[in-house]
Amino acid sequence: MISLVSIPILIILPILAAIILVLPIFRNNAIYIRKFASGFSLFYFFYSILFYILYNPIQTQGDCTSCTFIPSFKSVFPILNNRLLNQIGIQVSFGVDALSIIMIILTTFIIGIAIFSARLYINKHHKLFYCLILFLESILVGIFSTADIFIFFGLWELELIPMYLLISIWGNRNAQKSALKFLLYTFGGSLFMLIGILLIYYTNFAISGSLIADITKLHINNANIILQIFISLLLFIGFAVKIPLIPLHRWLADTHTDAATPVSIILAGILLKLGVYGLMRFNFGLLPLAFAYIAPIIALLGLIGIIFGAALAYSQNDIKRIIAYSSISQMGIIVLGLASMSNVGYIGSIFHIVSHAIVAAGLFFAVGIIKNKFGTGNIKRLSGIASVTPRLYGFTVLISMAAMGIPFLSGFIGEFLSIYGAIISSIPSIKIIGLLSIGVVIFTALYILRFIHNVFFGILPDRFEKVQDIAIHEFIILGIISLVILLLGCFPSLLINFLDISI
Amino acid sequence: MLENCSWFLLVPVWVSIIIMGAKFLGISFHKKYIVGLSILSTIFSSLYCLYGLHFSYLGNQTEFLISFIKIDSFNFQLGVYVDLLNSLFGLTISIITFAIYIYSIFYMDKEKSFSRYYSLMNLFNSGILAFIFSPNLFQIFLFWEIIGVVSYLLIGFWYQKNTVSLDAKRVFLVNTIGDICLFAAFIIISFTVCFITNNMNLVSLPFSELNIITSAFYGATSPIMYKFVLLLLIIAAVVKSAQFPINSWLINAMSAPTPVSALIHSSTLVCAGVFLLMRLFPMIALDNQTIYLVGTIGIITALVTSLSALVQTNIKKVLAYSTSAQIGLVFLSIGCYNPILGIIYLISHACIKALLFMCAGVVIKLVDNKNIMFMGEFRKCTPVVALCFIVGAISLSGLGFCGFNTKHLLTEAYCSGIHSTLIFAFIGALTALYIFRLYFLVFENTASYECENLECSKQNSLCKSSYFMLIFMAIIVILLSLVTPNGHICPLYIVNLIMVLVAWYFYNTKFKLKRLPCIHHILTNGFYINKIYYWGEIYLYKYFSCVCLFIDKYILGSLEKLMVWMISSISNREINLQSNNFQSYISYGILIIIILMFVFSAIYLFILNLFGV
Repeated sequence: MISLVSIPILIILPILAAIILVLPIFRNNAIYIRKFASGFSLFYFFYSILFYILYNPIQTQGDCTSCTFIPSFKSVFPILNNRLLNQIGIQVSFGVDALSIIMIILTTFIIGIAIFSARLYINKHHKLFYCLILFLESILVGIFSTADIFIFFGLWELELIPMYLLISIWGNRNAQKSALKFLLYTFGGSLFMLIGILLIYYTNFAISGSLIADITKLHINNANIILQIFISLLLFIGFAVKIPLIPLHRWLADTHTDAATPVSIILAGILLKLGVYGLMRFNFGLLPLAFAYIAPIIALLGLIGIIFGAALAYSQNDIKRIIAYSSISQMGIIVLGLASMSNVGYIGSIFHIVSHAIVAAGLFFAVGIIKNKFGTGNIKRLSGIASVTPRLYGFTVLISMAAMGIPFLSGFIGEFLSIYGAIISSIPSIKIIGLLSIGVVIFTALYILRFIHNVFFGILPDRFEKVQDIAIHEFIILGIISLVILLLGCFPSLLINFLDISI
Repeated sequence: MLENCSWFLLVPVWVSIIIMGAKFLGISFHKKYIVGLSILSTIFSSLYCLYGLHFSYLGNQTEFLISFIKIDSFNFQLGVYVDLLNSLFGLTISIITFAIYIYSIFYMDKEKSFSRYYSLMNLFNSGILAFIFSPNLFQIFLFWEIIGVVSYLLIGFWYQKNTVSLDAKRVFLVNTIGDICLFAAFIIISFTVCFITNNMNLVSLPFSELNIITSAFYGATSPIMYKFVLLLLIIAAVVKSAQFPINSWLINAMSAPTPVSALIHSSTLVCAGVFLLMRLFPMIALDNQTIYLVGTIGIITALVTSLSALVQTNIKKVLAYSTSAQIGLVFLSIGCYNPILGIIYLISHACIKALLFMCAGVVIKLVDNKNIMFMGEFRKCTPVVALCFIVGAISLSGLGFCGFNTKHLLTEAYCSGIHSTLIFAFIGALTALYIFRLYFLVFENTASYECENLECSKQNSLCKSSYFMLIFMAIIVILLSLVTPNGHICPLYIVNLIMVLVAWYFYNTKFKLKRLPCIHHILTNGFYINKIYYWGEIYLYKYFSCVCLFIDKYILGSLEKLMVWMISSISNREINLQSNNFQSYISYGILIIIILMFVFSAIYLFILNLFGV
């Protein structure tokens, strides 16, 4: 069983599938290619679920110092020992802990949704599209399961290549420009990150005298605290671009607007979460002492992000841009929960990562359908479409209610726990930020209600009267997303217990 | 037994899911199955409430809990808490819901979204039941939001009309203020109590431990902080119960279908705020000023909204203002340290107002207009409705039936001095005046239409079922007067009676009162409270978001452009260098390498220094 369900297989499988796609057996037949990719993504999702079921954390006492919870890999096993790489401490080692497993399942789920939704939006280079997505999936799973800081950085950069191509080839006219923007912003951030990672490596060498790059074996907690804060800030800049936090967010809206719907789903669903994952793994897990110093800054940026993102979302007229800016707002909540340095806030943050990934995927999918069916994404030109598409209306209202944090939908739990965590935080300034963030709920309500009111309600123009309601496959995708939202909202213990037990 | 039956309260959710799921999957139910299922759910819930009443009659109370979110020792629980207060409330709501489900068959008969209506109504029913049977403040908060959302969807039921969906949006946004206040109050109390008592079981603030929580919280915080938290709770209650100065949303909520108004915006949703105050009464009662504030809010609301109700021409708006006013009197009874009186008043008012709204619904459906100036002579067309309305009107103005008893109790509790008696007499007189003005204008006044031309004059079976429900509610209102403690006639009663005569004199004919132009305008617009919120949302927030957009587009955008310009100008220079001859290329290259070496060794030395190596 162990040999069948293991991380190396998990990483290699999508690449194998991509190779099979490249083989001439499919002969550019779009339907076969799509069916193969969909079938594979379905299988892959269930395969990754096995990790959730079989995961059995080995209870070991880590060196917890000030934090209640330090994420660490429980079962790391090297899969490739290259002698040359070994000499400088780089070991190609992969492993999982509860956080990784949740992120991996999220990845397989969201990419599955993206592949299933690609049917309407991808009309050229089918083979390349699915190959790139599978390649990206493999990289993402790699990022979430690697324990080596250099491999992490390498994969972090590598992920840009398929993403750049996905945005620019299948996007609209301006897509190349915004893909370049996305690329440059992330590169700029990772420059700082690279310095940070190198500094971690050298600091560890200076302290312990051994060249190690394995995240579980690095010990830099004894280093000078100023140096730690410096490293933490460097890493933070790299991750903040990806999240994105406020001054560094300008790539997001353009990229979302110009990218095709499946790419937007991947972008909002997983790529934004990479930044938070990095914060959890490096800033919080590796440098917990320094994190206590920069946490107020992160929390403040999170609060600003919530307000600013919501206000920007309110001022937009394009429905896709509204959802894109809402991502900034929601990521602010996640960052706030993480910065609280309390167990409640941390789990709330992870819960909101999952919740927002699903909600954002659902909203982007719904918005894509609206744009496709009605030929426009401008809310001033859309009106009253609930009359012709009642099912789409029902699903979209449910999903946007989840974004608004209505109880018994997944968004509430993450929001509630993040804010609660911030308020019970031991740092007074974060407490105040947490109290302030309670009032912010109304900002979310404002833009979501504006979206629903302008798009779905009102008088239906004559030109829309012959539009059909959503098709079967769209119904199934939206139905699955809504079910997951309800399931997580009503039984949050599915996720929380998994995280809590394995801590 | 009670614990095993707790799933009775979940029946409405399942009914709602079944109806909505069938609609989504394209399975068409016959209407009678939809209604049958809905009625079944109310029967289940009223059985549960009856059993709870039987159990808690002698002051017993019990609770059943399950864990909802559990992290470390933080355990947020959901469950059912049964005592006399919520059994009584639950029973009232179940009965009203039952009546309105049957009544709605007639009202919603030709509606395309019949199943959406019943599904949402069931969802609301389950939300309000779970709210009332909450064992802790956490669950109160959850269902507080749920009923708000379902109310939003029901107000926007006829979303094709632009004004309706605008109203729904505005109601939701105003209610969000209350949600935030309740959330803040909950979190502040919760974490303070947990850290003072070090007992993590109190994290969701169970009502069974309210005394411990109150004393811990009172002891741990400064008086100002305590007052602040109570103020948050009161703001939440004021918003939900449509009290001054946040009463205007109830008027917007009248865009909903009339059965929805009858259930939600007269007897259930608006009681939620008062219910919260009653639940937390031991906590609020510790602070005299807060209690005084509650009473003051109540009396101001009753005055302001009664005055506004006097001049409205929309039948539903009169009743909506009246609802605010009557809930204001319940606030007053809490302000008199008499929450039990408040419960009795609230329950009797819920039944009366549901009855009045149902009568109004029939009338609106008949003439397809909400303006009372177009109505009249309904006593001849529909004598049953007129009779039921008059039962409701008499009760509401405190002239007879259950209203008589409750009003008398409130008089005894409140009227201690000459000022309070005068104010109370004034409010009572206004109540009698506006409700009988409504009666005479709608049922007695001369009309321009013939009764035979009205749609429902054929007395079909659907119409009859709604008439039966009117009679049913009227009988309940009459029966309630047997249960409530008896009152007796006092001078205030005479004042009310005179007001009925005044109403008869002025409004029985097409007698035009001379309007005071300025005051009339202010009253019709409900003291312009609505406009202020509108400005708040439209102008303040729009400007704020425009400022954010400006910062984003121009300030951050120009920073971005600056970076791009810097990098591109550097690279342009680089191109110039490379296009020169080989020697200069090499010399520049060596120079750069030397500089880089210096920089890196400086960084390395800096790091070594940091460790003191």
